[in-house]
Amino acid sequence: MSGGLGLTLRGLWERRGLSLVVFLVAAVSVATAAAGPIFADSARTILARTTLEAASPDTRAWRLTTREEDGLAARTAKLTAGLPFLDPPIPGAELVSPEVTTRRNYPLMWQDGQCEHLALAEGRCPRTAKEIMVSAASGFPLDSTVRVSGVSDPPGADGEQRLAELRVVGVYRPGDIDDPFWFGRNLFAQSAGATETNGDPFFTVPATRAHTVATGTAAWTESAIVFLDPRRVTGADIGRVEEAQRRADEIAAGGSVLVFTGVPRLLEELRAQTGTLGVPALVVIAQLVALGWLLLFLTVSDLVAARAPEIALARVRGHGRARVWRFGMAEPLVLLAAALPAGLALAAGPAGSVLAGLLPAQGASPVVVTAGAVAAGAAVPLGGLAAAAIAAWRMARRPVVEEWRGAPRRRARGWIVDAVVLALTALGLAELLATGGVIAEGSGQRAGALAVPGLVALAAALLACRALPLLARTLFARTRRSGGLGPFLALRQIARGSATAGSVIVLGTAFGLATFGTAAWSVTSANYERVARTHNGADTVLRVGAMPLEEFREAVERADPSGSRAAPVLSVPGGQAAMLATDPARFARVAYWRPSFAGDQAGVPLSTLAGRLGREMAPRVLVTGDRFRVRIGSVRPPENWQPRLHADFRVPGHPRPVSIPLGLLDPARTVLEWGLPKDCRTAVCELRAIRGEVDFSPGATAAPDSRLDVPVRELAVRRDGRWRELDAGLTDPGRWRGPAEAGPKGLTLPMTPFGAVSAIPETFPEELPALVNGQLDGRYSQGADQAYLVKYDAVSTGPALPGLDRPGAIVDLELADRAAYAVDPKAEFQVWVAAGHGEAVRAALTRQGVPVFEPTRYTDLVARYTLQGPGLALFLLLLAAPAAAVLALGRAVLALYAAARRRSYELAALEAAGARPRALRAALLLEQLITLAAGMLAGVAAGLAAAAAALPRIPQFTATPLTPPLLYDPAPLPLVAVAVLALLAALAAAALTAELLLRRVRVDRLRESPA
Amino acid sequence: MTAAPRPPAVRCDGLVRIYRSRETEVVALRDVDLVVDPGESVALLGPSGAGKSTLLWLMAGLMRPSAGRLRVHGVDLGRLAPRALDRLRAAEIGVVLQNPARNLIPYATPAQNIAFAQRAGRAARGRGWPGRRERDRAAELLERVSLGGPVARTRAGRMSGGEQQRLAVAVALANRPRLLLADEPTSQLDAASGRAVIELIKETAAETGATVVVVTHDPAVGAALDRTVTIRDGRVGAEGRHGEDFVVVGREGAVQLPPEYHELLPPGTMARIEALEDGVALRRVDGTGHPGDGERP
Amino acid sequence: MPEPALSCRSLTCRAGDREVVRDFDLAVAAGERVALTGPSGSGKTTLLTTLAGLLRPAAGQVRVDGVPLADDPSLRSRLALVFQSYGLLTLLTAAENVEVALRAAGRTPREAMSEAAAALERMRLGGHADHLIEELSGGQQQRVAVARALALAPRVLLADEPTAEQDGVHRAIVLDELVAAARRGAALVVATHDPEVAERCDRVIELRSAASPLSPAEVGA
Repeated sequence: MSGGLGLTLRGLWERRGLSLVVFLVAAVSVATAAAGPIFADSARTILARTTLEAASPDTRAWRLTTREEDGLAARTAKLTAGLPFLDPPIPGAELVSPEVTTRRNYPLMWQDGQCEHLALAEGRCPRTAKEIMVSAASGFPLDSTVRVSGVSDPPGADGEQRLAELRVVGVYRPGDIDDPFWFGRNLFAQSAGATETNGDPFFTVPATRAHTVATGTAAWTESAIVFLDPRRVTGADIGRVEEAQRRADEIAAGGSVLVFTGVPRLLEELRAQTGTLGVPALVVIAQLVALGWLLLFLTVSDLVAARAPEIALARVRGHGRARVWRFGMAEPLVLLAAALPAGLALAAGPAGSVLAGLLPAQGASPVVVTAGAVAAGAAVPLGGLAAAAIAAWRMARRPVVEEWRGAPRRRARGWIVDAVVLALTALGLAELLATGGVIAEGSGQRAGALAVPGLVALAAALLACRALPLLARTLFARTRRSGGLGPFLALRQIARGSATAGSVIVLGTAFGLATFGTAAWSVTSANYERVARTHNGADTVLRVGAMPLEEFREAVERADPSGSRAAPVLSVPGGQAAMLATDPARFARVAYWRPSFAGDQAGVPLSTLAGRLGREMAPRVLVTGDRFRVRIGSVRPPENWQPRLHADFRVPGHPRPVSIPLGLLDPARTVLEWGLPKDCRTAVCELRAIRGEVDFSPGATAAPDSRLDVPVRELAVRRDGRWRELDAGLTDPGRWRGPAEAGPKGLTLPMTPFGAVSAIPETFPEELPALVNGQLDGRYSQGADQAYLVKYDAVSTGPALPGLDRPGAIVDLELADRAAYAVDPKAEFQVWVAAGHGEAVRAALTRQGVPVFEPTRYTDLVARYTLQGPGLALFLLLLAAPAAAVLALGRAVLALYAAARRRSYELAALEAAGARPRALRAALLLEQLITLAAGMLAGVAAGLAAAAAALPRIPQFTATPLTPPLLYDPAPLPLVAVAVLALLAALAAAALTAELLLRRVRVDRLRESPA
Repeated sequence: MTAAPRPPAVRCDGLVRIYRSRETEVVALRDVDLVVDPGESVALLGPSGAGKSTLLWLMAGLMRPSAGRLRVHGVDLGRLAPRALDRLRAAEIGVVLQNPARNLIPYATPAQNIAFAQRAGRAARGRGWPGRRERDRAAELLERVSLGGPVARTRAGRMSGGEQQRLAVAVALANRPRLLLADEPTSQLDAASGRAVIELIKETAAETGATVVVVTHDPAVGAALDRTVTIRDGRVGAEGRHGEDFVVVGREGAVQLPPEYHELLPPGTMARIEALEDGVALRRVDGTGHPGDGERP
Repeated sequence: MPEPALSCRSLTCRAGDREVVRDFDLAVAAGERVALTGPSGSGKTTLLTTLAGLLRPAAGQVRVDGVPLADDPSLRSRLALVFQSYGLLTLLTAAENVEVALRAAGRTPREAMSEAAAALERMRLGGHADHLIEELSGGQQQRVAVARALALAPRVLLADEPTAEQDGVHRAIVLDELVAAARRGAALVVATHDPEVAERCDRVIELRSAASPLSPAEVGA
């Protein structure tokens, strides 16, 4: 019925103010609701991308190798088919064999695109067969010839096979060893100084393989590397990455192809990250949709009510009920239908770009209107539709004459809705606060905590709605007896009038959510900062390559002579507990510290505490040489005893102590000697113990009390043919511990029949002084070598320590070194740098030739947390809830304006009765202000209460950190800002509507009836 | 009144209508008996609040009587289902309300307003699509009420009061109703427009044979129509035909004395009844009651 | 000779586009009671509203005690009008409605309370003083409007159909109070259909219908 549509459009134009507001409210509500899924989707993509980019190269690629010739092309094609986020495979081949002169294994390899990833020092890239490029560290000069035993020329005419002569045409230096191109393989260890690994590769061209023959056991291994391109991965692709992994597994199952990859770990990480986004985001989106629903419900009801005269007319003209109903709904329907695409466009367009701009995105992520966004957006107009249907139906059935007669009867709002909401809220709160709720699912329950604020806000708003008239009533008597007309009128309007119930509810709910969102964000970002700073340890942390500890300390010393900007930290992951070993003085200047970290020592400054970490200990007993000698006093071993002495040494390059036997003791021998471990000839070894063990002849027993004291008189080392006595302090009791006693006559080792007895130089305390975070409790934990347990003597015990995200301790680097036998390869060498000096220190280290990896600032960690699921969900709430609050306020103003017709009669009557404009303005202003402020403040209070109750139970991290403890007190400033803004907005809105209403006052209105 | 071969257009028997509010009851109509023959045009006169509009709304089927019976064209309105009432209103009854603006959709053109009413009629009669005929009829109606020409393109809300009310009459006539009800159609118009509207109503009624009931407080309007019925205090007090006024004897014999006779027989005085051939005479009993300070009953 | 409490000359009033009153002259002395009769829609309401100073006349002037209203708006406080549609605030009680008017006129809140109570008593509404207006019947509401006007003890009391909704008993009460107010010195102008009311007035002015705008035809009492 085009006539019908034409009429509807005219009607909309007639009431264009109201129509526009309804349209705006609907469109913005749709946008808010749709923004949620769009945001979640973008966030998922960003999560995926950041996870990918943070991942090590081997976890975002597959490397297929095979010894078959041409075995890979078909299989890699199968892997990459139909997956646009996979880069084309990078082919390569490799053959490892010893170089003839140095006998060191060198890989001869090519990898497509190698030259772009190497820094050319001399010469050029190889172009033809048998040309190679060598590293500077390998020492082969330009234009020289190299031969490896695995590669020969094809048999010549004489049938002989000669090793191929490979010509060095270029010399390179490895570029960034983290370059993903190398798939995380440690190809350039030689450049880094390692002597025992393969040499740096000789790079060549594929033609070399064609022109040579592999000899002996050497064989070519073909490889292909397939990378995931983070920039082309979207959140929806995670399933397809899993598909790719399945294909890789299939290929590997074939047998002839080996697949190296860390993608399964990546997938786990991806699933963990994006999984934590799902439920919280859903809960937030649901609340936003519900709020939009509520808002729209009220607004559309207003629009239908404004059409009351026309609807009555339709009844008078005899249109049937159903037709009248449709007629009543026509205008809202058109508006809602138009608002849906508008809202979606708004969400995809401006809102989307705002979101994208706010998220710390790596690279642009396209904003796509997903099916989820459309669904969420479409859910909102349903509320409006329901409202239109209900209101129109009511009006279609109302007796027509009521429209023309007296005042519309005020109907008290039913109790049912209130009761239901309050019951739900109580239930939600109870479940939240009780330990061990009924629904004890892991993340389900906790994410459900996000629903509580909405319920609490709604309940508070409903209560405020009920309480406000009652409160107003209590002031009746006072305004009757004294004061001006303004309060007198305003209070009675509030107590007895009905127009503002809906506004209070919507305002309360929206502001509750907004306040909660603000509080939650404030708490969460404070926690992110605290956790990031604690886990990072200092403002900037540089990771450097492994090196001997003295070199480590010297490097830091040279990079920062002042001692206040950089500190060396050895981070040992440990099994049950981690350990950080550092220079205490520097540490105190650089590390992130809070007094609470010191627990019971909270008042003591870090410098003092750190000072207690070091100890003056006995000097180390260092030996370099080829033979070790012990001179003892004469001993008479008891019957059946076979006592032996051993000496334990710490030898560089050996993770365990190396022991040498010194011989069986008998009365005749006073000099025991043995050869030192081979490495001690050139490296510096350390005597760590003199150990005595007693064996027994077979079948013999020993008297339990028997004991043999072995006096050790002298220790000496032979070097370059000369013996020199060691300064081991054998007479100094302070320098030895264990059951052995040092005395004027030397060191006495009491040997017993059972067990071994060691004399240990007291170069480190038995219990290392340590700063401990609470969970450690003085238990044993692994030391720097991850071998033997070290006991800690807690200098302070607190809930958290910088640099540790799990139980652990901080000890003096020197002591830790002395206690260990080597440094665990998994230990990380970190340089902690104070704020503002990161680049400078990094440059200084690089200048010394220390390889420095990408630094981590604590802000990077904060960014990472922000991008995790829970952070994103809360961020969404923070963005959307204030938008909803603004909407609610707008609607409240609208509702007040829509009631203007009725109010204008009253205002005319008041003016006719003699009230002056000033009193009228005061009355109006007060009334609006109190109503709006009541709704808003109820919301703010509810938001705060919800924050107090729910925040501790809402997940803020994907994996809640064990330490430091999270805090839940929101910063007062943002909340005060919200409350102040709310009040200012209320004031402005009140003033605006008061003015608008006053302007409509005309005495003419009194001719008409009150309605 | 002789019994008409056709059923009366409107027949009220002991009609009562009570409005209930929270604390009080207002009896708007008490025991109204009234018969209107088809083709008659009746003016309902009386002071405001006397119940005239209530009676009109009852006739239009917009309210249900609290007691008594109301029949329109022989159909008992009290017994009809709401849907049937709507159909009746669409097909047989045309309503013109007091406030010109209330009769119309302000943002629609005159033709659209008429079409709006026609649509209801069409639905009531069960016919499908708007046809040429309807559009022609609409144009014809507009001509009738002197609203053809450029005015036909303005929005109804922009027309003057007189034009609006003329349009309202046209709309009411859109479905050729047999009963035309008008509630104070001229009260908000100036003299000339008011006269024009009344003339229009009379002419149309004469042409189509429709019954007309007009509520008004303007005696001039009453004079223009055949018959006047005065409603006072919710009852039929007096009638006038062709200029002559009659009192109507009510249900229990109550008679309302028109104000002009109050001097001769002041309210509150006792009177003797003398029987006459064709009625009764009331004679004052002297010595009781003085004008102005008698006790009120 | 003292100025009439209320007077106007050549008053012309418009309601919308219609001229409802043309060239109207009136002079009412303090204590005088004047009735305006005529069918409704004849301009009585517009005339009264203009006389009350709530509408501006198209031509002519309204004077209170000889001073034009237009010159001194504060004179409005000497006028009180009982509206045909009562002009009451439906969300207030009867007492509160009267109190508002009194307080707006400058009484202290306590004075307002006691005077309002007294005024409502006189209108036999003492029992309904604390009922909301919307709970009262039309007649009761009308009496509240009258009580409000009377409580103000105005110099000029204008009433538009003040007895239209009253039954016999209450009609008398209202009338008695209006007359008493006049006796106390107020100039009373009542627009009415009711012949009883016209009877209790000193003068009756008949306004003819809108068909011919008025010339006052005085009908002696």
